[in-house]
Amino acid sequence: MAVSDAWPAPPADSPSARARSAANDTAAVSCRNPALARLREQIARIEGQPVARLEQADETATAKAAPRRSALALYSLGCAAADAALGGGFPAAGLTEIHLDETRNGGTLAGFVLALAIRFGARPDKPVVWIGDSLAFSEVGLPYWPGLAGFGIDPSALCIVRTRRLEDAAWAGEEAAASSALTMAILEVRGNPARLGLDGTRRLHFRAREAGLPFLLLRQSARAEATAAPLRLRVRPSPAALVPDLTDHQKLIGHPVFAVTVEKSRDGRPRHFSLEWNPHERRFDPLRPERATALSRPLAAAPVDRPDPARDAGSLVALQRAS
Amino acid sequence: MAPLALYATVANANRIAAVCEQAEAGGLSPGVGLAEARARFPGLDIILADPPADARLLTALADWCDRYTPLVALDPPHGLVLDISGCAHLFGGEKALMDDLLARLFQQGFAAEAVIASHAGTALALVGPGAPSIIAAGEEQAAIAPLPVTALRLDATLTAMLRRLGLKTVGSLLSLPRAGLARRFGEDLLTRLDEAAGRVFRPISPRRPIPELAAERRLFEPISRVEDVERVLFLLAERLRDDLARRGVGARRLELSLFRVDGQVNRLTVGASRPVREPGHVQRLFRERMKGLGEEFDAGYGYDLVKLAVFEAAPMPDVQTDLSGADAAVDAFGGLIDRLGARLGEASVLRIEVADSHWPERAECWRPVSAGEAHGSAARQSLAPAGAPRPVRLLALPEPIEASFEVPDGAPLQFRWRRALHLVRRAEGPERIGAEWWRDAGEAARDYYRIEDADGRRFWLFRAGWADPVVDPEWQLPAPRPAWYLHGIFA
Repeated sequence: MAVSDAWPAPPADSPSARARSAANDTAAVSCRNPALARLREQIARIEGQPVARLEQADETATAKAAPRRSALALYSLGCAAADAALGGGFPAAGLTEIHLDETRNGGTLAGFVLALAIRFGARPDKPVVWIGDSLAFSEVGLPYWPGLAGFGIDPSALCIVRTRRLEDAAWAGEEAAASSALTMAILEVRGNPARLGLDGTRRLHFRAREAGLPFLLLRQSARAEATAAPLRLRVRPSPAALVPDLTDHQKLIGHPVFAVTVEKSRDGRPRHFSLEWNPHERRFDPLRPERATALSRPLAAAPVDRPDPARDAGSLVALQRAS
Repeated sequence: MAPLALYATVANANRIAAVCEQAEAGGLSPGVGLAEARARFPGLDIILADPPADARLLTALADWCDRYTPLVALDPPHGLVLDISGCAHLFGGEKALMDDLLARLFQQGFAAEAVIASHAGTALALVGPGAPSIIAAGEEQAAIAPLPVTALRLDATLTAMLRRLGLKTVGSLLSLPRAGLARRFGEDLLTRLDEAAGRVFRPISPRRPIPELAAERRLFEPISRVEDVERVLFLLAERLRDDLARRGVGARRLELSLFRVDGQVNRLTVGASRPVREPGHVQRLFRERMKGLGEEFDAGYGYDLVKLAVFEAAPMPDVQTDLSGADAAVDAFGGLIDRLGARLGEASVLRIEVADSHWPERAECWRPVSAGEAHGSAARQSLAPAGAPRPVRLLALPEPIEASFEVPDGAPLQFRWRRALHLVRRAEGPERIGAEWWRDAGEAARDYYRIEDADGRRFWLFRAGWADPVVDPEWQLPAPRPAWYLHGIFA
């Protein structure tokens, strides 16, 4: 059933992996020679190579038909560690799934997706369409104008489609996936509905790939199921960075940080990276280790030969009555 | 079949309100008391009158009459006024139109009378059994002169008084001096008299908005398949295209009226995000609308009249396309928006706009997208608000949470939202947001905190309406405990 999951990734030093790297090296040659690329593809099919490689060969073969797709196959997030973990960059066309452990982390998900939309260049005449059924939106709230503007995106570049039923949302997603007038399409659902199983995601993936459109399928509180999306991420909240120049004030909340786990990718290795979003510069910054530590200077060690020092008085807390 | 009569409660007495022909032939007339009618006609079938149902039937009939003219007005309790100026020739003249209308109504089981006159007042006064069918212009006075004064629809006391005075016909009123009539009986009588005589214009108020343009097609063989409806729709849209092009406009709102053989009218309305003129485009819009209807699309025994009307048009300048493809992108986006809007309803496809309010719920408003605005809004680039940070997602209603906090008015230390406990690690605030006293006077001010919990989730909490008045005299609402709410989720 699962086409892409049926092929375990070969170890890096296996002969097929070496053959693949060789094939990547000769990709420039095959670009120039479509006949050769077609032959390679046929041989790959006969040998039963992984699907990921077939898709790549397919893209090279149809490079003449869709030059945009091959030219923008991957899109850099502007952060070397993240690009490396994603295998070169974020897919510029096709389906990507982003999962969320718990619905209450919806803000992190929205932030990460909006940051991606900004990176992809959303603007009012080439907007982002965000589709969701009313249940998905009511659980974590609708996008909020002042918040969006503060996050760095132009709110008029966002078009929200809120449907009553999940079927309508899935239909709207398929319509949007085939549109070439969008920067990005986002479909947000709860869990793993049957309508968006392997078949539904494959349909979305093919349509979005044909249209050259990045399509994000957001799943709140979802299980990891078989999917046709080549890339599946899981986003978790992470403590925000300290405010620059005010690192002494640890109570202050700085730029948002997203902890991203790559669960499924073409090379099959799970990876993890953290990104800090800078809303003023509209770019991702890698999480620097000195920022991750709470204090800028090391603390003086506690003396060993003295009694335990007195603690602060603490604060008075209003507790509910137990009755 | 037993004779039928309806009764209604008039002035605390049950009286017969309407009778069928059979009962009428037997001697029963409206106004007779219910008990008396039961005693005199033991076999009579008597039911309670249902005026709202009558009104619904009349409205349905008015819908059906849209096939003759778009200007149909109700004349309750059981009359309709049709303005057929400029429509009669489509049916082969006034006489042919009236015959067609009456024949169709008769087939549907209605006993109807009709009068055509140059003035609505004349026709309303004349209509009734045995009336001449068509009154030519200029003959109104002669036509209404022999009518009884009840035809003027005056109120009952005035009619009774006129009868007592011997003024039994309209002609006798017409022959009296006007000044004396007005002094004795009031202006209303003169107005009614002038309307009936065609001396003043009696406006009619059509039930439905008047379309800017309409095209219709009459079908001899009723159609019921969706594909056939779409084909007819395409032909109608082709006819409308030329008219729209001549006026230099495109349609923004279109309505398709499908007249069923059994008299019911189905109406479908679609809106376009920018003016459209192309028949194919119009057809696609309605196709999505019909798909969205699904099972509700019930053709019954088929449609014998299809009408396409433009209710809202907007200027549509002829633009020269260039090679950059920018127009194509806007067109593609507009097409997508129209398809989504036609199927899901326009209220489902929204864009956010900023609103002029500091109160968090009212700081934004949601509007249906129209693709034409996309270019305009690029110019007014939105600026990030300079104040305190705001969440990227806002809950529709603030959700109450259980919070423990530093007394009397400190930041929360931990709170329980949707049964999950969150430990607060960092907090910023408070940011006090006062209510809009000019809108809702009783609303309490809120102290907002931006907090981060142990796992790194960031929330927007507020405390509403309470603190120790000694500490903070600004708070006005005393309550047993301060109420905490979660309002938004930060990225």
